[in-house]
Amino acid sequence: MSSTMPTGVPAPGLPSEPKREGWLTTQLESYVNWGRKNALWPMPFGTACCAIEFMSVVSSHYDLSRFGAEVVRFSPRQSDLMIVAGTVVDKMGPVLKQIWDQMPDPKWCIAMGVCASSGGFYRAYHVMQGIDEIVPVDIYVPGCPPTPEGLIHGIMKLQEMIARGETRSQIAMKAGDPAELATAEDAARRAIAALEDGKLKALADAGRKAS
Amino acid sequence: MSTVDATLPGSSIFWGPGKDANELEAVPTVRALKSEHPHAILGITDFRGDLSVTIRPDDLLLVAQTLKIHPELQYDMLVDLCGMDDLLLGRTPRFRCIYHFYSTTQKHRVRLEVPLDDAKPSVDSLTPLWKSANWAEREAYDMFGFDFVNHPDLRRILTHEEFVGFPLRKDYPADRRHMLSRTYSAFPGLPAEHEGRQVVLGQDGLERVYVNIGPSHPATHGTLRVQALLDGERIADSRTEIGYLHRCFEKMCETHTYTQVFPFTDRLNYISAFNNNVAWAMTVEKLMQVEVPSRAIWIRTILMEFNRIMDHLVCIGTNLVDMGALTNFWYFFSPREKIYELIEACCGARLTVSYGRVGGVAQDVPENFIEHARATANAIPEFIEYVHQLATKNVIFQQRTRGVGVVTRENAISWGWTGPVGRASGLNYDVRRAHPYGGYETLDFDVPVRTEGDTFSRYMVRMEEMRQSLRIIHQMLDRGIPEGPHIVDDYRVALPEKNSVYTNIEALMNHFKLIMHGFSPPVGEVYSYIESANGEQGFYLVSDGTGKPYRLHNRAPSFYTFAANDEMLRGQMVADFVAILGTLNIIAGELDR
Amino acid sequence: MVNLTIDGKTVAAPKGTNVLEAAKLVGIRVPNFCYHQDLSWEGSCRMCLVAIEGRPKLVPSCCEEVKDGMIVQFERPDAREARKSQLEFLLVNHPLDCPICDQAGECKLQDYYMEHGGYDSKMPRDLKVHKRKVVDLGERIVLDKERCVLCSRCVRFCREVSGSHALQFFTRGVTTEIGTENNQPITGDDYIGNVVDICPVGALTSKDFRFKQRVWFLKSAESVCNSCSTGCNIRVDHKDGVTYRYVPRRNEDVNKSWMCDYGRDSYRRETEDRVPAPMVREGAALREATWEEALDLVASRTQAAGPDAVAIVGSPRQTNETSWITRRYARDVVRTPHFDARVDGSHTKTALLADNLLRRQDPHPNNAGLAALGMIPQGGGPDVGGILDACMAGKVKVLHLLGTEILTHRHDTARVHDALKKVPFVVLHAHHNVPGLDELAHVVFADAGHLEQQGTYVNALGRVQRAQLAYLIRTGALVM
Repeated sequence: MSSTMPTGVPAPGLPSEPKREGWLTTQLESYVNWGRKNALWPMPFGTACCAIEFMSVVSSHYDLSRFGAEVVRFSPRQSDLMIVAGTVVDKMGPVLKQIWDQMPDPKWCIAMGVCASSGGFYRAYHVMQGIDEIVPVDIYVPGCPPTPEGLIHGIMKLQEMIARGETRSQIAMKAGDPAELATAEDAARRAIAALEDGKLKALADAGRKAS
Repeated sequence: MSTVDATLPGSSIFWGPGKDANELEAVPTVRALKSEHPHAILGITDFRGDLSVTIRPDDLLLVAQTLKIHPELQYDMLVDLCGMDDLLLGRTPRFRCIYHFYSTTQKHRVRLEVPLDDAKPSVDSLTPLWKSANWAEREAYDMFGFDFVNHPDLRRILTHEEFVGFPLRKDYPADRRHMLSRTYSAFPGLPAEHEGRQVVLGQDGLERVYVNIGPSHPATHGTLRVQALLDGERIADSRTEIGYLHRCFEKMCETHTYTQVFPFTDRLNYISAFNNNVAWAMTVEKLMQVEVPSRAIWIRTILMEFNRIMDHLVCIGTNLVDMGALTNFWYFFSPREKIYELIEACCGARLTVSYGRVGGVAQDVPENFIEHARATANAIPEFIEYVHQLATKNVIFQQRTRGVGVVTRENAISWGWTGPVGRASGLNYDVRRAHPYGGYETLDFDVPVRTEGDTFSRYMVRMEEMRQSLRIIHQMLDRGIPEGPHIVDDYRVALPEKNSVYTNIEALMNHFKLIMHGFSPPVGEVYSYIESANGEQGFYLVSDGTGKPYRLHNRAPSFYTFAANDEMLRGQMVADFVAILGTLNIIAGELDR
Repeated sequence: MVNLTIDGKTVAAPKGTNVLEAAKLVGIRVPNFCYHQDLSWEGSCRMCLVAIEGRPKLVPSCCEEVKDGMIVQFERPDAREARKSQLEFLLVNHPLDCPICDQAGECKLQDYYMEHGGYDSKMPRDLKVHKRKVVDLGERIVLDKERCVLCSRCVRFCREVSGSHALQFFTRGVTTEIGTENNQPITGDDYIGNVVDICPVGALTSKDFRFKQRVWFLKSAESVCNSCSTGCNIRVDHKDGVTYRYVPRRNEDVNKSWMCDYGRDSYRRETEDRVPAPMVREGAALREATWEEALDLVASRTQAAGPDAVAIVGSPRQTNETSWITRRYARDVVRTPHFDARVDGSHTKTALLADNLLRRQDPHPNNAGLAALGMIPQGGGPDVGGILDACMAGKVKVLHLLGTEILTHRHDTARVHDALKKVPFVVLHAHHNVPGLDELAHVVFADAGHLEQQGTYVNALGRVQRAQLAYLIRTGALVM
């Protein structure tokens, strides 16, 4: 499994389309995907302001239940969609990783808001510059916070991807190998590399300050 | 032993406009300190009306004691405590510890500045006198490395356990991160046999269980963590752990201009974002002596009251959800959507608005604002009524909230509680009444105060405050909106009109410099505060004359509220924790900054 | 010394100082356009007007010599009004160019408006007088006639400092403009880059810097130019490891406020064609290697050759600190008799034209430093010429060159190449690629650039000057 593939794009070596084993299997799979996409059980990992907009999304005015995502459970073991709404700081990192690992496959992750996508405007000593430092993300929803329409758009996009079987988790499940573990290891390796880059950059900054 | 020299810069007496030497001598605090501790005082200043006394670190404890118990002073509340690094200001010594005190009885304030040694910044802890010093000193240790002698538990509070360095020091780069490899127990100094074990034996031979409540938990509103040692259902001991949303607000404000700080302030108390904007704007206006036109004041006040209602709606709504009453959550989010629409019509954003500016607001309200606001205000009471009927007299609700999490008035003051939680414990202090701003002195409203100090009274205070806010809103709507500009006509702080920016070179240059360079404020320090939905929210701003704040500290009411959590939880049941937490209304954005 | 009072503060200034400079001594920054410390006093812009007791009208402080007992008021209401009005007049025809003007962020009009202006202007945009924009004045300068405030600094510079008289005033009245005769490009003035620095507005801009970077993003380091032995003080403006320009720093004794164009351009050499990492010869070509490998190789070959077969040549482009270590290495570690640093043979045999303004013939910044450190042969050892002879004769087994000047700056390049070819092991410290590197070197140490290290240089007049570090090394190079 390649370590540099963005999420949602099939890795080389794996089929980019579901293997056409036969009409029956394909139909079954599309039914299963239809079921998956229309009954997403979100696990809101809400940390900050985006969580309030997420509350608006599940409230009566915007009503996420229309899309089947009614059962908002705060238990990772009973959910399949983790919506990270808000900034994830370095202190929260291990917690996020643990929650993600506790979710069973197939599982998806939406980075809601710019803080979860790339650190937002907090280029700071305690803020993770995007949760994809430690977990694989399927959908990035920009906005600070994204409007409820924006989040719904993101969820609908995820539903389309699920229907087509394109998401990282579905491909990993089909491939049958422990790709999930590999992805997590790769993510960890990337995170450590990013930390090393951060150290170099910090040295450069120190040099600049000295001058 | 301190190495502070008596000939510090600023050791001569100088005063801000309006208070000459005689006037300053007449101030009770100055008189009392000069007579009791003449040798401890290194300097007294009065800048923009903020009385500030610099004292020797060795004398801090005695001076603080005088402040607390002297009959004329009675500074019963330590409002705020923060650190300062004067490295780039070229001062020696490099560090200072800043204390803000308030007397709820005499209604006066004072700031103490204590210069600390460069090599070993150390001073006595004030925890024996005020409980609010506990967490505030931990934060000053975390951010600056100050050592507070005799502090019961001096360890990091906002940054994580593997963090190296003291981030708010001026020689610490803003984006140097340290990775955290795992979560740690919140109980420091755990006995070895307890480490990693969940079920342990208590002293009486009975089992105790360590349970982690949060930081990912439906009822902890995001990022709060309490590690509780349970004796059955009762919490025998607990440690509250925060910092899971520490977004380095104070460091970010040092690298952005004054106007760029507004979006950062939105995200402090993000439930009622506009209130933070106004608090920050007022701080800069105090520093730069900018007068806000009456139209802008009207707009600010009415939207602040709407924001207060929004805040209480979320607080009560989520509190009830956590206790199992889901319908109330839907009921309260509906009027919230209506208020969103009102604010969106003004500035385009729903939640994090950045609508405030120094000298007014960013743009004028739309033409139909009065009708829209009236319609919104008229739509809210119905929902308050629904929830009132569903919850207030409900037997289950009553049993879960009456007598739960009682905090006495004295305790609340010692912990630095203000706002609805303080008023529910009998502390009759509302900044809008005590130190009016924004026209509140001309408005007719009640400040609900209760004496039981339990969860139920906190709920009731908030419900009543929403009604009072509606009262204020209707009064203001009936008065009508004053004519005039929406922002002060002062080229030092306000952007010129857009059409003149495109047609007039002076306006273009003005716009350019304000955006790229920022303001040119005077050098000085101010502390300014408002009554936000959670209590006294203050900003302590130090300006070095450049376009970016030198230091900005946010006095967050949630921080001081939550500090009392461990004490409150002892002996309560786990389910009570959920009920209590909801009414404390801890917003992680301002808790962790 | 003359004693006077400015805004209630007493100040003692040397005789001959003008009131504007005296005000600087007490921290009062008097606005000015036409005045420049190193040019003649003009008094045409009228921004520096102050009130002096006993005078009937406001006085331009840049033209007024201080006198004993003078009482000056900078903050008097009429002086403040005068400053405001004068700024307004200057801005009457000024184009709305800030978004596209390079000067934004360091423009005096902007700064003075915020400090001293603040008025509302009623000037309709359509009534502004228009002049030619984007006048190409040759390789270095672009002139925008509309932005000019007619301060005459550039005219006086070309008249008094560089002597080229390149820029003049033309026409008169409201159409007065700066320019060259028939808008011809400026040639033959090697100091014309300075007019960009002294122009207080964005009228004269540098073609080289045009539209490259906004100045508020740039960080600065104080350094010394290394293009000749004058050592003009410079300020290096850089961002993220990329240098955008050199700007002269005022030094009363060395370069006043000026620097030559050749030095100004030299920042490009710092990044062009860098040697990224140590190189080691393998067969016919050089390949990259680790520092450990390169150092081990050099150490082993040097030890094997023995002191008499090793020659070390220092470099007049290296800092004093590096040169001192080189000397210790040569004398105390290797103990070779073949040691010299005067790579040009003599200090004057170079092709660079010296002029009577700033530039010197010696293109290296630190020859004087080498002399002061004693980087010359001792005990009758051979000089560089002698070392080259020894190489030709096959006596030198290891030749260690601290810089590439010996390949590029001598007039007998062919002889140098032949001599080096005879040496079985040549070690070079190279900052960037030079012709001949590939064929002649066996080990190349990647050297840090002039801006990537801090150190001192000694200029031709014996002045020790410090160069600050601008940014950390971004390649695999190391400071020697």
